[in-house]
Formats: sequence, C-alpha cells, structure tokens
Amino acid sequence: MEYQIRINNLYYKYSQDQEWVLKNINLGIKKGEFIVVIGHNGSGKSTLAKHINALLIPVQGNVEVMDIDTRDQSRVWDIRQKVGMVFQNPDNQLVATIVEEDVAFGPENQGIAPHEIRNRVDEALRAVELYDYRKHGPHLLSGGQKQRVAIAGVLAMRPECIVLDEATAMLDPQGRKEVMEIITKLNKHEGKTVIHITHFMEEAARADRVVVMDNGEIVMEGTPETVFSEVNKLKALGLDVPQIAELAYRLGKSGIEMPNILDEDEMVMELCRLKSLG
Amino acid sequence: MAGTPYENIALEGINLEIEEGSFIGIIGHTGSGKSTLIQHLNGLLKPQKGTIEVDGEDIWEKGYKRSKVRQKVGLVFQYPEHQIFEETVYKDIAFGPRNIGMAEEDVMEQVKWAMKMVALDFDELKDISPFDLSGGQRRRIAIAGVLAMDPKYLVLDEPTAGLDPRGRREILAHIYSMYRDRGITIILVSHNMDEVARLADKIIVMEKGSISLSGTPEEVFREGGRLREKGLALPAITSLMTRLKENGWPVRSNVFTADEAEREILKVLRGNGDA
Repeated sequence: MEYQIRINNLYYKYSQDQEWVLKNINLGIKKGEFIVVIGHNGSGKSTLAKHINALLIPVQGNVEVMDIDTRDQSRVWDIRQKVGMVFQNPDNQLVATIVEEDVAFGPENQGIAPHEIRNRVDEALRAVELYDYRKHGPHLLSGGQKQRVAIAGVLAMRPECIVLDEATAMLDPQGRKEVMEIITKLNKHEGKTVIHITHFMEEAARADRVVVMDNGEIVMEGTPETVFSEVNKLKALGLDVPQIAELAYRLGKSGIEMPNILDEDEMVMELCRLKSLG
Repeated sequence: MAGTPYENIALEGINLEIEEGSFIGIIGHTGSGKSTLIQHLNGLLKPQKGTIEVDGEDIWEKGYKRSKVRQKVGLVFQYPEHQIFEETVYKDIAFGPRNIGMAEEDVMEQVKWAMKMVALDFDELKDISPFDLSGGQRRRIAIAGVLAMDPKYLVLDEPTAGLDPRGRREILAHIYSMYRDRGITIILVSHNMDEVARLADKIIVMEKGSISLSGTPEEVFREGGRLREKGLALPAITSLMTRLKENGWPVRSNVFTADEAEREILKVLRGNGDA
C-alpha cells in the first residue's frame, strides 16, 4: 500500500520523568484521504498532529512524510511545506494587518519570487472564497473567515496535506459550516489530504476514516459508519455519538434490521423503505 | 454611534419576562444581539429606551444601587477562563464575594459551596494556581467565581464553547443541578440546539436585535420551517422527525432525544406489522 504519511511504532513523552503521551501509534495515511481524529482532551490528538509536520519528533519509532523521516533535521522545512497546520484559535494565527499579506507570509519566508507569490495568494484566497476580502484587515472578519484566511496561508505553501487541530472548536455553527465546506472542497476537488481533529461528531461523519484516541493510543479506527455504531464504547470513552447514529443503534437493538446510518437523508429513506414493507 | 452613518441598532423593541426559577435558552446567529441583551440584565449596558426591572425594581432608577443587581444577576461571559488572574484557585473564586464586601468567613463558605457545585475539590485545589489546570477546570473555576457571589439569576454565554464532549456534558450537568436543586434561575445562551432543547423550559430566538420567536422547546421547534429559513438548525432528532412527518408518518415532530424518537418510530413500524 502506498502511504503518503506513515507513523510507525511511535512513542512520545514531553519529559524524561513523565508517562508516555503517545504509545505505540501505527497509522498509514494515503494521499487524498480525509481522516478525522476524535478523543477527549488529553487523549494525545494534538501531540500526534504535531508529529506530522515535525513540530515534535518521536522519542521512539518514526514518522515518514512522503518518504522523508521527520527525524532528519535537514529536511524539516521540506516537511513543513508539504504539511500545513491550522490551529484552534482564530485570533492567534494571523500575523499581518491585511488579509493578502497574511496569506503571503509563508511563501515570502520561503524566498519565492514576488510574481509567483501574487499568483499563489490569489489562488489560495479564491480557494477559500475570500478573494474579495483580500484588502481587508483580519480583525474585521468573523471567526470562520479568519480560519479560512489561516487555511489560505497554508495553501499558499502548496502543501500536500493539511492538518487542522480543532480548527472549528471556537467557531459558531455558521463558521464551522464554512470551514468544513472549504476543507471538503480542498479534499474532494484538489486532492489534498486532510487530517481534521475535532470534538464535533457531526464533522467526523464526513471522513473517509475516523481514528479514535484514548490515553495516548489509537483505540478504534474505521469508516464513520462502523465507528459510530459502537455507541456504548464511544460513550465509555467520554465521546458523543451523532444522534442519528444513536437512533439507528437503538432501533437495531429493538430488533429493527438497520444498517449503520449517520446521515439524516439516509435515515429517512431507510425508515420509509421499512415502513413500505410493512 | 448614533446619528452617524455607522449607527447600528443592536437591540430593538425587546419585551421579555423571565420567571424566577425557570431555565431560559437564548439562541440566534452571531450578531443577532444575544450578548448585547444579556449585558443589559445585570446593568453592564444601559438601555437607550425602555426599562429593565429585576425583582420588581427598575435598575436604572435614581437611587437604585447597581451593585445590588450585579450580585443578584451573575454573568458568565464566553471563555470566562480568560479572565482568571489570581495566583490561587481560592483567591480567584473569592474575588467576587470579597469585592461586594462579604465577611471573610462567609467568603470561605461561599467558595467551598461554589466549588462543590461545579465538582472541584476544595482541599485539593484551593492553593493551586489556576494556570496549572486544564481548560475545562479553569472554565469551572470561572463559573464558580460568579456562583460564589450567590446570584439568584445566572446568565451564561456559551458555557460549553471549545470544550470536549465530556467537558460539555459535565458543565451542563452542573448548570442543570443549580437550576433543579438550588432553584437558581438560568439564562443560557447557546448555539447548540440539542443542548437548549433538552434543558430549557423556554426558548428565545433572537434575530437582528429582536426576539423573533419564543415559547417552550415544543412550540419553538414546531416551527421547523421558520427556523430553517433563519438559517438556524433544528436539533438533529427533531429535524429527522419533521422529515418523517412530511413523508406522511403519523409521528410527533417535537421530539428531542434518540430514545423518544425510537419509541415514536417503533409505534409506527410495529403498528404496521400488526395491521
């Protein structure tokens, strides 16, 4: 199997006398995959994410990003160009006073020629649907718009993979929707690999694969339908289950033959089909 | 900025009565006026027209002591943990009661009680720096700081924002027990329809600075179409049941939880089987 990112027997702790924060993580991520990572606070999600662009280096095991080992210090900037990160707080990530200058920050640091920077900034701002806001001050934007500027800043580096570390946590429903639409589009139409860490289970429903972390380990992994059918296990881990999935699970337990369903449309269709069978 | 092109009416024509001992949910888009409205409830903002009465007294009448309303109506802002500044958990929670001139032995009792209400261990945490604690714990400390002033009414602006599912559940459970066991009136601003539908006994929908809809959760979410038009989501289960009803199912649509929905659906499916 051809993996874009490979995590092999990864162990990590922040200091010598501490316990492992990540334990024996093995995960392969294919080009163009949409992965959602869930788990309660302190389960190791963010620590794992920071290994994917060499912000953290494994204590044991290794991480390979497009065949570059993150332990190879001479290649750190290659890795950071290939894997872009977006963080939680929309107010902490923007550095410039004008949207387009903020987006240009990354490529400028890479020493890219000015006309090429112009192209990339325009392209990135169009991709996040903020081209019309390119001359605005970031402080006038909504939370969702700020996060889209942060995504544009990452896109201007032409990454292969985007890691979002709870990038929707502080947004209102409208802002969350905007960010989810943009990253879904980047994944589906531009083939970007997306690794999205979130506490919102509805967002996990869009993934190709859901990875559940607990206490520094991967404890469940699979399609959203299979993962969310394990209602009791998820609840024991302190996680939520999307309400539709919970209903499907309950109906199944009551003897109604039901596939694993997460989506409202599918649930309506399935129930209407069952009703017509009478 | 009245009288300039930047004039922007944040609230207009609000009439609202909040009963003692009730649990009110306020929903609406960002910018709909929710936060502006709640800042009027304890006198942080003064209405340009109209009046605010708390326990029958006009809080802007001459001679009314505003400190009284600040104590009666506790206000927990969004991300309240950002306002923590003291060196120890105890001092931070004690700041409010001391500030309103409470006697020191009462302050201790209030801090103990408030910490208990949000499940923080007094002996274990009182001397610790709040900055060494997790985000969810800091949030609870901030809520305890307001609670320690012994408010009769507690207003919370998005108290679960940014927390993980367990943190969200815990905070909501604490708030619910303040309401149920302590009779504290709760006014909860939230973007989460499922939360509000389950907890509140009255819901207020804000839109462009006005109240566009209000009533029991049943009444408000019965207006599924109207809420959708406003771009507000229904609780996931209510939305499903509304769709089934539109498809000719004889089910109630004012259902908010998976187990209620299960019962309604089973009635129809099994009813069909028997027929």
